[in-house]
Amino acid sequence: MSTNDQPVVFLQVYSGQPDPSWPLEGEALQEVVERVRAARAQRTAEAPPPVLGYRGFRIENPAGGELPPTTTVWRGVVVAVVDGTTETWRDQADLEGFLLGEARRRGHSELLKAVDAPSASSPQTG
Amino acid sequence: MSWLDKIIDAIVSWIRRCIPVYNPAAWNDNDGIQFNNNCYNYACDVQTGTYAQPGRASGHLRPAPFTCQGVGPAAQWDGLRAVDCDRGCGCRDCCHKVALVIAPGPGFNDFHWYRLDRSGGWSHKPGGTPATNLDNSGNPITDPRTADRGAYTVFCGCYCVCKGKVTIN
Repeated sequence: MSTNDQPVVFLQVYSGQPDPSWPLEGEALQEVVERVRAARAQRTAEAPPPVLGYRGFRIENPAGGELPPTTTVWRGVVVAVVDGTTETWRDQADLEGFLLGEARRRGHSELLKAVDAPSASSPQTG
Repeated sequence: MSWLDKIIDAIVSWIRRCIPVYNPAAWNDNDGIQFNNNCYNYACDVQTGTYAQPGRASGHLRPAPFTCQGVGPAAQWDGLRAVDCDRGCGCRDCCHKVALVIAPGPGFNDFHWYRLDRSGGWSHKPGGTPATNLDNSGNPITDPRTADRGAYTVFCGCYCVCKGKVTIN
């Protein structure tokens, strides 16, 4: 969980121990805002059921503003809570691919490799 | 139904009252409950909101690397009781059965828990993602020993979680 109001990204990969996380700020934050905004244009089917291992990313944004309070992305589907309602959108701006790049840039390359995370984004579903 | 069948049914129902019902909606709120309760919370059927770690509540938290020999005894300090996977937890206490597995690495080391539900099937909650009764291949989990567990290739064993005797945090 974040300790302040800054958006935080969680790499959803572990089950028992806490997931790696980092603050979302600056250009990366703007990039995520734009990609989430693009995703909202197209609704899609429900998110795939979770598995053990790599399960995409979750963004927590307790302060509100340009991002939903929580956003998850995995296998081409963005899930967000908007006004208390869960919505699912197609990840047409490749939010997952961008966050994969961020995760690797922040030193999680070996972890992603160990769990066979995609090198770019996952195939789109729905 | 004969009187004997009725008695047997009543006994079975009485024993099963302690086994959790598979009700993912109670965990999958896409908010604080889902994000702050992990596989150990789900298996023990206790929502602490602390991403519970085996041994932490009892002062016996074991740091990584995670192994069966480390996580299992840490959970026992929390009150879980080791049991043969092919046997039940008995009816003396109000218990349900859970199973521990490990992702040994290299590169990816973690622990994971499954629980046996009242339906007779198993379910689990991978970290902060939703609870499900499906394995990594999308099949219902009839036995965690044979389910597709991805990188969690080491099966450690089964434990009983008995109400009032387990404290996690």
